[in-house]
Amino acid sequence: MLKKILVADRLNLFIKTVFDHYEDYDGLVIAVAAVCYTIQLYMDFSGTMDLAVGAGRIFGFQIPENFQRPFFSRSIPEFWQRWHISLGTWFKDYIFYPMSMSKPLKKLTTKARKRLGSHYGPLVAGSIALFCVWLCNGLWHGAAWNYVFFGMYHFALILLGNLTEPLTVRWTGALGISRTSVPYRGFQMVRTGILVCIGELFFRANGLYNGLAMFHKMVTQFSLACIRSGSLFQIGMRKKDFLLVAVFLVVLVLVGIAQERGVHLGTRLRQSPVALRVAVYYAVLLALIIFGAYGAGYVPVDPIYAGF
Amino acid sequence: MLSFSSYFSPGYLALYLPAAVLLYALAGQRGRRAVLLLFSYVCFWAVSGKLIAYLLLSTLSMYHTGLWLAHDQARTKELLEETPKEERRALRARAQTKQRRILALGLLFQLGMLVVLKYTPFFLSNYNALLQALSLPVTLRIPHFLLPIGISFTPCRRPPTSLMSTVKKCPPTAISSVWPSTSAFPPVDGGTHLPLSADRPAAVGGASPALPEFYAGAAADELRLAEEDPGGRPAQPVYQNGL
Repeated sequence: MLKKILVADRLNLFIKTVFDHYEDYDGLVIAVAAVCYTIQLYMDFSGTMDLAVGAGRIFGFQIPENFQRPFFSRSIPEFWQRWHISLGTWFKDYIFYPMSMSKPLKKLTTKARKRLGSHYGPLVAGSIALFCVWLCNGLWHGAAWNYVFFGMYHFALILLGNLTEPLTVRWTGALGISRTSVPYRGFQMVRTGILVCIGELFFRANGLYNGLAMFHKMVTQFSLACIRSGSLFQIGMRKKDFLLVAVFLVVLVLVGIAQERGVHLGTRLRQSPVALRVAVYYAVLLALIIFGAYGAGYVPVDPIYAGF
Repeated sequence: MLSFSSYFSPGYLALYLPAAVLLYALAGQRGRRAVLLLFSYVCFWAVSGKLIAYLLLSTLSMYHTGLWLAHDQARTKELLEETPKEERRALRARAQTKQRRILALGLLFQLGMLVVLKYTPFFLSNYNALLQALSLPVTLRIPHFLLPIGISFTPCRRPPTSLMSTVKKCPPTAISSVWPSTSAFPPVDGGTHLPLSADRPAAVGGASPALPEFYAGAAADELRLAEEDPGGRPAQPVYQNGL
C-alpha cells in the first residue's frame, strides 16, 4: 500500500499534467515525467500485486511475485524476466515456443545455422517469433499505435542486444573491462533503466505522434532552467513531494539490494520478537497515514493495469 | 453499488475483504469455491457495473466448453470399449479432431470477444484512414464499446487454464470450479494460482515452492499433476499462467 498510496498516487498529478500539456514544458521536465511514470507504473502494479499476494495468503493461496526487482536488471531481456512475469511467461508459453518450435521455423533455423553460424543462425527464426511476441505484447496493452510502437521498441532493443552480444564481449575483453565488476554492472543497470524509461514515455503518451513529439522535445530542448527557476516543483508536486518519493525509493533500493543478496526481510521480520514486529507495522501504518497521498487535493487513482 | 474503486480503497479493505474472509472461513471445503466465485463477481460488478455481463458470458461459455469436452471424452471412452480393436485407432483420431475443434471454438469465443470489444474501433479507424489516404469516398462507422475492467487479462488467462485443465482430464465438476479464472483473489492481474490445501501440506506450513516451478509452463505442470494423480482427481488442479 505504501508503494501505491505514498508514491504512485502522489506522482499522478505531475505525470498527468506534463503528458497532457507537454508543449508547455522543456526537455528536462519531460524526461523527469518519463522517469516518474516508470516509477508510478511499477509502484502501482507491483503494489497492487503485493496486495493481491497478501489477500491470497489470507485465503490460503500462494501467489508468486509478478515483479522481481526489475530495476536491478542488466539488460532488456532480463528486465522482462523480472517485470510482469506472468505476461512474459504467457507469451513465452503460448506464442514464442509454439512458433519457434514449429516445423517451418525449425527448418529455417537449420538452414540459417549453416550459413550464419551457431550464434546468428538461430537468431533468424527466434527473431520472427520474437517479433510476433512483441507485436502481441504491444497490442495486448492497448489498441493504439503508441502501444504497437512500445512493443516494437522492445523488440528492436532485444534484437540489437542479441546481434551485438559477440561484439560487446570482444570489446570489453579488448578493453580489459570485467563484465562482472560492480561498475560495469551498475552501468548496465543504468543503461537498462534509461531505455525502459524511454519506452514508457511512448507507452504513456497520448498517441504515437505525441510520444514522438515529446521524445523530440526531450532531446532537443533539454535545459536545466526549470530547476534553477523552481518551475519543476510547481507542476503538481512540490520539492518536498519529490524528496519524499526519493527517500522512499532509497529505502526500496536498499531492500532490493538485500533481496538480491538473498536476505528476505519479510521472513526475518516474521521471526523477530513481537515488540519489534509491532513497532515496524506501526511505523509503516503511521508512514501511510502521514505521508500517503489521499484526502484533499488528491483523487483516488485506479490501478493503471486495470485499464488494459 | 459498493463504493470501492480499487484494491486500496477503504470500501474494499474495510468492508469487502473482511466479508469475503468471514464467509470463506464459515463455508465448507466445497462451498469455499462458490464463495470466492460469488465475491469475484461482486467485485467485478462493483467496479464495472452492468459490464459484468461480459464476464458472465465468458464464464458460462468456458464452463460449457469444458462440459462439452468432458462429455465428448467420456463418450469416446465408452465407444472405444465397444469398438473392435482394429477400428479403435481411427475412432481415437476422429475423437481427437473433434475435441480439438471444440477447444478451438472455446478459444475463438474467448479471444473473439477480446478482439471485437477492444480492437474493432482501432482496426476500423485505421481502415478508414487508409481509405481516406486513397481518396476513396467510403467511411465505415466505428462502434464504441464500453470495456470492462482488465479486459485483456481475463480472456487470455481463461483458455489456457480452465480449458487446459479440462483437456488434461480434470473436468469441471461444477461451475464454481472455474473460479480461479474469474477470481478477484488475486485480482484481474492475478498471476499464478497455487491453492494451498490439505493435500499440499508443504505449501501450507512449509517452504513455498521454488519460483521456477511456478513458471515451468501450464502444460508441463498440468501434465505433472495428471502423472501425480492418475485417478484424475478434479478437485485442485494447479492453475498456471494467469496474466
